[in-house]
Amino acid sequence: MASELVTTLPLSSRRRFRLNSSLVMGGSIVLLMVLAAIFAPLITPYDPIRLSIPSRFQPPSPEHLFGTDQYGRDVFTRVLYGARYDLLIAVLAVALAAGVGTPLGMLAGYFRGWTDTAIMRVMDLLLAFPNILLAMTLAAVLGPSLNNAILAVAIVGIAGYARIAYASTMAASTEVYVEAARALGAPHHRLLLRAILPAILAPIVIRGTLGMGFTILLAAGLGFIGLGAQPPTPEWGAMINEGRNQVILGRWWTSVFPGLAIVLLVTGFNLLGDGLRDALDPRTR
Amino acid sequence: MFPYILRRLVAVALLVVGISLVTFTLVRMVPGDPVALYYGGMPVSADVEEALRRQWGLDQPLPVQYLRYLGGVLRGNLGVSLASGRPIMDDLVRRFPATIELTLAGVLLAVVAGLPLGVLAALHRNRLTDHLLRIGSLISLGMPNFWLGLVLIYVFGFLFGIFPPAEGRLAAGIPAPDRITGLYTIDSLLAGDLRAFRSALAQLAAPAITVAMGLVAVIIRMLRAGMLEELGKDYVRTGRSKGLPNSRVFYKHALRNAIIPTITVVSIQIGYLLGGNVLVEAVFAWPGVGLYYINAINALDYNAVIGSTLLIAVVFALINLAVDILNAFIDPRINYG
Repeated sequence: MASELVTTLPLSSRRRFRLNSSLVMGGSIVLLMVLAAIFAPLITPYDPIRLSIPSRFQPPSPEHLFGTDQYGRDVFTRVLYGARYDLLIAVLAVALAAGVGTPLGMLAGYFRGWTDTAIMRVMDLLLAFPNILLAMTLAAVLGPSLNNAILAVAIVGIAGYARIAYASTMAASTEVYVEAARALGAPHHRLLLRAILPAILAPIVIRGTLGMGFTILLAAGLGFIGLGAQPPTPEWGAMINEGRNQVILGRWWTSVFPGLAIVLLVTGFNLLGDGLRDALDPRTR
Repeated sequence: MFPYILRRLVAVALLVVGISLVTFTLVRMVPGDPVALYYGGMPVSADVEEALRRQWGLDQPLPVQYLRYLGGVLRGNLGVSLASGRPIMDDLVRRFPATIELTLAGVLLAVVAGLPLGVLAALHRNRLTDHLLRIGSLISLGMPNFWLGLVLIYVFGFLFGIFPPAEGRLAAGIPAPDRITGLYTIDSLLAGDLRAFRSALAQLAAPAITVAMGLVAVIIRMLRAGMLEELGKDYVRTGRSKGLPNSRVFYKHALRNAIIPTITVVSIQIGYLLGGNVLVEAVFAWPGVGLYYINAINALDYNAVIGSTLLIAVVFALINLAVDILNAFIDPRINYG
């Protein structure tokens, strides 16, 4: 479980940054997936979308490592291209959620008073819904599409970043150097951007990394229900859904391999996040 | 303590109002005109349309519409499902026992498996068992539960034929037991109907295992961390130095303290799972609130989608409230000033 971190250790303290095995393993997995996404056309000779009915339902073989699906498409190829979509969803949704949540949390923690109340009560409201439920309802209301799925997943994530930024900003505001800058007459925006933001970046980055895995699971769930990427897009959750009725008939490969890709990528991000936390957070030493 | 409980009650009441504000906004966001939607796109005269608008209060200003909506919600009126034609509240109430049964079974399994494993991991810290458990929980945290459900269906249903086909709470042809608690496993036992009990248990097994898998890892991690923290404390050293056997120190003292945060997390998870199991219910055709919700999404039955969301969020808030109050009773260190 990702604990909410309240630390003011700046990211740039390289002196204390030490590599650990989680960091290296998680980083390698994520890098591998990024490379697979970029070089997919070079790795596989097949097309991820084009139908090839004569070769449908082939079990895994040397020609088709992960077999073929009900339209005769190579599952390995689709898993490789799928990395593009799932990575893109995760990066965009996390960037959006952190990009909105962090400033909101900072403003609430810095100005306190009614700003605090107004912002943080809205965040509490977002947290009042089980997140998968909120994401699905938002995606359903917005209409099923990849863009709306990203938006829905991002909205669900905002409150988490706001809370961390809020707690960290309050902690950082009492630091002596912030007091000093304030005493020198630095305006609010400079205090927020130059003094506080660098200090609270570490917990945000850790949360963001762990949030990538969580986001991928959420987005895949949306894809599985048909609220995310639409067929024939080779998004992993949508692929699991397409292969769903084959599993009962014993054709396991169409759903199992995209799922394994999710497990691998999410585990990679979780390891990377845990590793970053151990490397950056002095409390866990 | 009572001022604390009162404050929490007020906070939850405000939260419920807030939740209704969110769902009201969602209702307004639904694409398309509700009147046109109601008539399925058929052309209707302006008079009929106007009458319907007035009947639904759509001619009123937004704040008035919201207050009417809130009034309905407080009286348990979530609107009518376009798909079933029945009040959404009735549909949901009928389906809640299935979700509760699945959630409780999943949590029970997770606790039964997670407690010993968590203690084991702490006692074997940094040894092989600990490492294997850590890798296992890490991987299980990365698994989408709907995918795990499909894998279980394939392995135990198709390959080994242990689990029956996922077709609901009872195998086809077995009548449901008389409703007492609404939980088929318990009701069938109370009725002395062993055939229904076996079937209910068999149908419950695979989805419950799927639900449990996500939670086991959380329990193992929390309990391991909690045990290690407690084992490093002074009272443990005191216990040891006065000659208490290790087992007594572990189970009688350290575990008792280490388990409190785990209990809190598990109880909150119960509330979360009531709403978070929608995908598991969809995979196993488990006829609970989650499946109702998914079917509503597929049928574009927005009233039912948003109504389910609201009810689940309110139940979630009430369970969190119950957990807080229970904790206040259990743990004297909580400050209710």
